[in-house]
Amino acid sequence: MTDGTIFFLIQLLNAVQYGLLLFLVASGLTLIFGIMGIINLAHGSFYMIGAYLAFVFADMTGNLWLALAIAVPLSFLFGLVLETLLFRFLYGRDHLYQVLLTYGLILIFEELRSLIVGNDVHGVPVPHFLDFSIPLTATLSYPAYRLALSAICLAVTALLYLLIQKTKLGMAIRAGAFNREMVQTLGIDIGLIYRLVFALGVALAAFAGMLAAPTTSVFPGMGNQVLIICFVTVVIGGIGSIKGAFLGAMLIGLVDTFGAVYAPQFSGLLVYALMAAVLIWRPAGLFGAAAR
Amino acid sequence: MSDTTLIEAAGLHTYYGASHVLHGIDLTLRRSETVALLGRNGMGKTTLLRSLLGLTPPRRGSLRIAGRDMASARPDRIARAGVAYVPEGRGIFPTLSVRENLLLAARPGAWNIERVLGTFPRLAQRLDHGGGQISGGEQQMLAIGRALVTNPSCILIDEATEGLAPLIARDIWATVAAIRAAGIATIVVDRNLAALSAVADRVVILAKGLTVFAGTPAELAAQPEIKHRHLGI
Ligand SMILES: Nc1ncnc2c1ncn2[C@@H]1O[C@H](COP(=O)(O)OP(=O)(O)OP(=O)(O)O)[C@@H](O)[C@H]1O
Ligand SMILES: [Mg+2]
Repeated sequence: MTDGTIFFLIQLLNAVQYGLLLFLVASGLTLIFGIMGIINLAHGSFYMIGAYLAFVFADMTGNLWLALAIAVPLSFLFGLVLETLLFRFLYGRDHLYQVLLTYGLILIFEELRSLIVGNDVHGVPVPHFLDFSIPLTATLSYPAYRLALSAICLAVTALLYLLIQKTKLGMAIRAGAFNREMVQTLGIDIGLIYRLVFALGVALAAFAGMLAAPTTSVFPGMGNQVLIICFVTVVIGGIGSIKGAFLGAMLIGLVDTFGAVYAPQFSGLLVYALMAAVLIWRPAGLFGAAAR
Repeated sequence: MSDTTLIEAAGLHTYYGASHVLHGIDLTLRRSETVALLGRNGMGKTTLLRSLLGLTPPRRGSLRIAGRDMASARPDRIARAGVAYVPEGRGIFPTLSVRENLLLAARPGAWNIERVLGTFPRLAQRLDHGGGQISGGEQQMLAIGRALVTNPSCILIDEATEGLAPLIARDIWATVAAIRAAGIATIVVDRNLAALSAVADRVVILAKGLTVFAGTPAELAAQPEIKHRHLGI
């Protein structure tokens, strides 16, 4: 293979890795919107919180895997608490309330982050045994951690697929998105389903932040960047559709990565152009309710 | 309250926002009995079922289900107390397969999915179809089957045969009779008085949110002026 082909392959790997990571965050956003009807501007904050949790616990334990093992359940728990104390009261309310509360949460989370960890940029070390690059040619190589990251994201995506398609909880989630009352009259506590979905969304976003931390460093405002691109993903995929979020995230990964290489002067614009093109073609997104 | 009473509602007042729909309804459903609920359009039949199910809880009045106070209980708690629902329009989840519609509802008991498929062989051939892809009659069978696999002590069926071809409607009436024979109580709303009279132990007629008749089918047959005034026949 020529260096050119290898270079292309590396970009492809980067695109897939970015897309998968984006999917983990966007899947929660689209579930929470599609099932509970909540516009959650604070969703990017969960990504940020995940990254900082990884930083704090990796610093404490000296081991990223141990940090993940602590931080993932912790963020799930955090999601349960947030839903019980705040989000539960937003269901069925006007979007204005949702936007106000969740925007307020962004400010609170950022302020807390600033108080607790400060405003410095931090790095999270790559786990020792993955701290090497796989040489591909004389000059090109690929970091092992990034490969592992993609593999982990793929595994989580597969688990999410199984959860939603094959388990009773998944059936209740899909049914609840369509007819909440009917789910209740089958004896299922829809409030509990909502709580679990919300916490799952929080944990997925936080997990993505944790995995990304060693590759991007950890910095103030990192949640906001992710939030915007996540909304783009959800809109492209069709609100409420997990399948759509997956396709949308992969498309954005490709367009963003290759755009930065082949059309760097437009790179910031390309994903929005992609979104506009998709919406002209399918106004409800790739798998939006109107298109189903 | 005797232990044969499943549902005991007294003085139910139910509203949609400011509009007052049920004006103090009393209703009793005993174990294994079939009650026909009749009344012209908009008289409150669906609202009464929704009140019993906790979907539109009564603002005043008492509601006891299986001996427990359920006047302000959530629908899922009422369902777990043994009340199943077949709503008008069937309420099938279109994005779930027929099998998943049943699996989601199933709770342990004598009515498992195999038994339901034995009762509705047509569903057995449609298991992997989407809930939205099957015919109206099949959807109604699925809705009844889905209620059965929750192993309820009673099923509330709204508009049992609405929009169904006569042959399919006949199947549904046969099923209602079979449910009765299996010892599960039902409240059935439908327009077909003759079919209802054949399966029902009692008939209740609503008008403007009040009970205007409660008695056996024979008693109703003996009062043509009630049939004429409240059912238009
Ligand atoms: N969601 C609602 N909001 C406001 N009013 C409602 C609502 N649902 C029903 N109503 C009103 O309540 C009254 C009773 O309606 P309900 O659906 O219980 O009647 P019904 O006897 O089931 O009629 P039908 O035979 O048409 O099904 C009607 O006047 C109806 O317009
Ligand atoms: Mg009705």
